[in-house]
Amino acid sequence: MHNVVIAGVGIHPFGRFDLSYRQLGAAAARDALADAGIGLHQLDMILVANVGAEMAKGQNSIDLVGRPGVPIMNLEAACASSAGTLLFASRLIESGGAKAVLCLGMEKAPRGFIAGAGFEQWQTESGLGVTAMYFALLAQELLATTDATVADLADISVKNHRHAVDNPNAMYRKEFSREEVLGSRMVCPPLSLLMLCAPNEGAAAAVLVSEAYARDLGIAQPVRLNAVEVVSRSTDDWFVPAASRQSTGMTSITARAARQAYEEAGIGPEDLDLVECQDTDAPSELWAYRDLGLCAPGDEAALLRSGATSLGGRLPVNPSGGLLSKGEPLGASGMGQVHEIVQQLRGRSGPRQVPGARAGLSHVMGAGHNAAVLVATR
Amino acid sequence: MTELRWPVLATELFTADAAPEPGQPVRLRASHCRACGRWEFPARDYCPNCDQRAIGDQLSSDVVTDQLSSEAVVAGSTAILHAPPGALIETPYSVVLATHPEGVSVLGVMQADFDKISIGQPVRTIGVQVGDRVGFGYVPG
Repeated sequence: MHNVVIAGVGIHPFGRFDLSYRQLGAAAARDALADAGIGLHQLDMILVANVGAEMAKGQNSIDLVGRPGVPIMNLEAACASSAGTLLFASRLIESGGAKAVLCLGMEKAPRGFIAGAGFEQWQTESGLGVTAMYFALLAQELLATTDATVADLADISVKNHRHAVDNPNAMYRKEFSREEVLGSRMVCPPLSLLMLCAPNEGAAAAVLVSEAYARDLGIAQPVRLNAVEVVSRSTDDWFVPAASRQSTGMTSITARAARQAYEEAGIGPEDLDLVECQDTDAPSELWAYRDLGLCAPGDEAALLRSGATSLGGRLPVNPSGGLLSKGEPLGASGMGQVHEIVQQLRGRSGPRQVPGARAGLSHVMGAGHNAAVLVATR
Repeated sequence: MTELRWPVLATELFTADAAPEPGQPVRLRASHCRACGRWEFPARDYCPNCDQRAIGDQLSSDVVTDQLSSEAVVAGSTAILHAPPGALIETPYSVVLATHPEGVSVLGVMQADFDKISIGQPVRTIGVQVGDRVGFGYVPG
């Protein structure tokens, strides 16, 4: 992809607020428009990601911002909803069908286990409609087939919570020790509460424009969106809410999305300066190290222990604090990653800044076998 | 106690010799592709591997619905300690990923304490009480 620029990003912090989804979304949309230096009436289209709210949610939220009269379309693909808006917007701009599109992710999720993750009635009633159960089984597989330990799982949480201390948009901005993580309430063994992210509320937005329009806006050193790849279930993939898998092994939706994204962007994992990945649960970050090509299979724990993925390391992963610290407002979480990457590439991340960051990758995966990987550079 | 099955496509989750009751042996219904040999649970009317399809009432088709062996081996396990939304069974309970000899690994509630379950342990499928229906689960084999 050669013609798509991220002209601006905006965010409403993730957490719990006495605000409606409309207000959360409107705040992020205004923030992104101001950041891009563009008005609502200069947009060709608005795409809105959300999982749980009512009909015409994007229209309802944007009505608090203005009345541009352009198409507003709502899009849902579980954790990849935000990436879906960026997929459509970037393809549209690349093909010449639009020059400026606002992509907005917003969510006001209930507390606790995520309900409505696509399980059939018999799964839910039988006690099998539990997303954390899948994370736990994948964790167990990682522990059994690599040298990763439960302490390594805890250390993912420790690392990401340490990163979040300096992130004003995170829900939890407190450090935890390995002992505190291991000692927190057991949810699905081997996963304890502090190894799992909390569904919550928040919104984030990005304004995508064509390269020519970016010049008109006077953006000197634009952040380019080099690849957005979204994949769904293929033959041997296994994730929430599938009731079974092939016993000969499974393939990874993340790995497939990453391969496509690297090919599209023309860069590889060795060229990255930072990664924001789907740490719904601590072991998922270790799986992502493998599936995104950040290390060889089996070297996931070694990569973590080397400090390479901590802020100050060679390739910081989740410098924002990740979902473990920010929480997961489903429709907005992926856009939150994009916000982090764009600000890092612009050198605007304050104490969390990755020095000289030029290339970033964002990754989500979720219920219904959705995965998305995008690459941005400056 | 009998009206028990949740419709899944045109087939059912499992079969039993008599009206299924908790604790009685059941066998899971799965689709089987006669072209490539792949099994799928719950059953589908297509093969995800080679894209063969069932035709009509499965006459002249490469994809048929059949039964998985009742015997399986534990490939993974965890426990659910806090009641998930909509579940009709009591917490805490154990869950296994059980590998059937046909090559498909199925998630199911296991009637054993979590710390007594080990990888490689033989298990078999039985009927379990789920609210006012009978579902399937695993017991040590």
